[in-house]
Amino acid sequence: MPDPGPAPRVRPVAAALAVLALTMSPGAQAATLEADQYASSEGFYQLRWEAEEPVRLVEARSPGFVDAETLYTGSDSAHVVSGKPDGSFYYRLESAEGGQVLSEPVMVTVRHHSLGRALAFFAIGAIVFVSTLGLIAFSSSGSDERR
Amino acid sequence: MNAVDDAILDPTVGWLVLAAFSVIWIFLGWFWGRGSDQLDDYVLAGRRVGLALGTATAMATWVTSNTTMAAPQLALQMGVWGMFGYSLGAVGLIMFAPLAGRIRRLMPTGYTSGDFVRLRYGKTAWRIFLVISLCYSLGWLVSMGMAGGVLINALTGIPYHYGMSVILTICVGYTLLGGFRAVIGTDFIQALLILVGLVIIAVLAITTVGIDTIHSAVLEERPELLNLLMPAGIMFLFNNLLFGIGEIFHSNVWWSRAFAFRPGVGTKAYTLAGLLWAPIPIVAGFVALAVPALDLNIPAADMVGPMVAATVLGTAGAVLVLIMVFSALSSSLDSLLAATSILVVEDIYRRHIRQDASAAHLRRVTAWVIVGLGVLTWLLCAPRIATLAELLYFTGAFVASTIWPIAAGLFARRAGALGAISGMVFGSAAGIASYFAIGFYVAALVGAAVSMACVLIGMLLGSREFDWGRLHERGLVQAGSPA
Repeated sequence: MPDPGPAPRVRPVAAALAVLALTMSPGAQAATLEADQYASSEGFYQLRWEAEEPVRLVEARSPGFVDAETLYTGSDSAHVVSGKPDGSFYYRLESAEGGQVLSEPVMVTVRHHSLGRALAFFAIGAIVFVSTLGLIAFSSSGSDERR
Repeated sequence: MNAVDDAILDPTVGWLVLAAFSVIWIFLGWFWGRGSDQLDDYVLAGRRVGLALGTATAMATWVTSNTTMAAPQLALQMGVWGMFGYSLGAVGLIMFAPLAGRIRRLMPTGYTSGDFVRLRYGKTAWRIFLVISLCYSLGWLVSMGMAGGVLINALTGIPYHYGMSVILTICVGYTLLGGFRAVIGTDFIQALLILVGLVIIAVLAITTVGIDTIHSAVLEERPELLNLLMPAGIMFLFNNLLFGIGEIFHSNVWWSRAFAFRPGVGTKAYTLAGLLWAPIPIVAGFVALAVPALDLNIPAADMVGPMVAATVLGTAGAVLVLIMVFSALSSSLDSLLAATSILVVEDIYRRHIRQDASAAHLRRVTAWVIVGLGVLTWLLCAPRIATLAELLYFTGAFVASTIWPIAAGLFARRAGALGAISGMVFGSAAGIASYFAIGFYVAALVGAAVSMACVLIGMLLGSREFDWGRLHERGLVQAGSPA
């Protein structure tokens, strides 16, 4: 059974945060932002949006967007992100002119494959390739088609 | 959905370029096709293609829209390993060189890769192989048609269906008029256009932006692209190499050239084509690394090459890209139409429906099949299914599973039907499983590895040795027989 104790103290704070969130994102319905994947093993993904007006796409490393950087400003409706290291990345749309928040934030987490796994596949590929090459090279040199 | 706000070129300019090259290709198709009345002339250019044309057609066919669009895309997604890995597609051409010579010697009157699998492994393996090969060919055809529509739309604003219809109609038209001789002749010109255009764009991108600027911008904004230990990039290397080998070893596009080349030409032509092709993805891919320095928004990864070219060169660059893309698409579409039509006519129509068909009848059926393939491709391209590019990656598992059945079938007498069948079935299944479990960049690798294991086990367990003389089939349609 849940402890009813802290609830009365938490509710006003939660309500205030909700109001603050709504105030900070008055245009939550003005634009929709989505990623083609929210967990990437390769460090690349595409962000797509629908908006009525030119937008500014910003990226941040923290959910509060205190370190936000502009990735794109204009009327296109998608942006390809690539070359990302491990970590979480936050995106949102703002109005191109005033910086008004237009969309809900989107978080994409990048976690590359382990180097061990990558090298294992590399080794398997190398074995298949060298074996195929060997089959062709040795058989070609000692061609037995006349036998 | 076109994620780009504005087209780069005016539609009128786009229509003029398309019209000019359409007239050129159709005229050349008619010109080179005169006198191709006999079946061997029409479908295999009389089996007399020399070294220069042979090299050019192999190289141009391998320069597809995938090379001009996917090499920059992979450089943008996987960095240095992306473009280097893509250039390893050249290994497939070079490794096919000894196969081409051997195919020509073992099967001097052969027509298709299906002929080989049927004679070497029997009907069950042959039918499995046909399913793989025809699905792959159709997937490639559709992806080319769609790529044509999308690119023409993005570059010129011409509606997708118009651009796609134009490119399909033109390719069907000149392939129909001139047969394989027209395909090879236009490939030669298209190869020159692609090479010259690519060099101009790469040189201007480097001189306009500067290598130092490109390097520092990538390092700052997309650092993993320069990381030589990027795991996905490392995994991609051999996957792409094996995908390329699988595509070339099994596809009738390459076998039909082996049959069409003069004796002794195939080995040299494929080796030279591979060496000439290898730098193209590196050059094409390199332009993608200029994106951060140019502060360019890339809405879709496969648009990066054309967009960088247009940004660096302006209208002239966009026209150049349009010509290159039109050439790259045409050189692959015509080859696919020609090679797939003869596969359908020889392996399905003649072997399953009309075994007593005359050469003249087969010549007419081939023309109808070319038209039919064009219509089928148009119908599949029309809905513009966005996932077809992914479907092509998906085929990596299937085509890579044919590497060992083909290679061992050509060189190892102990390779048998059981190993080949299990290799294609289990290799494909394992490749598909890895596609979903890990990613597109391991599907071909896993498919090839499992297939190799199956073929090797089959060779160890099998005791019968194949008689190469059984491949020298005296077919109903003999070279030089009156049409």
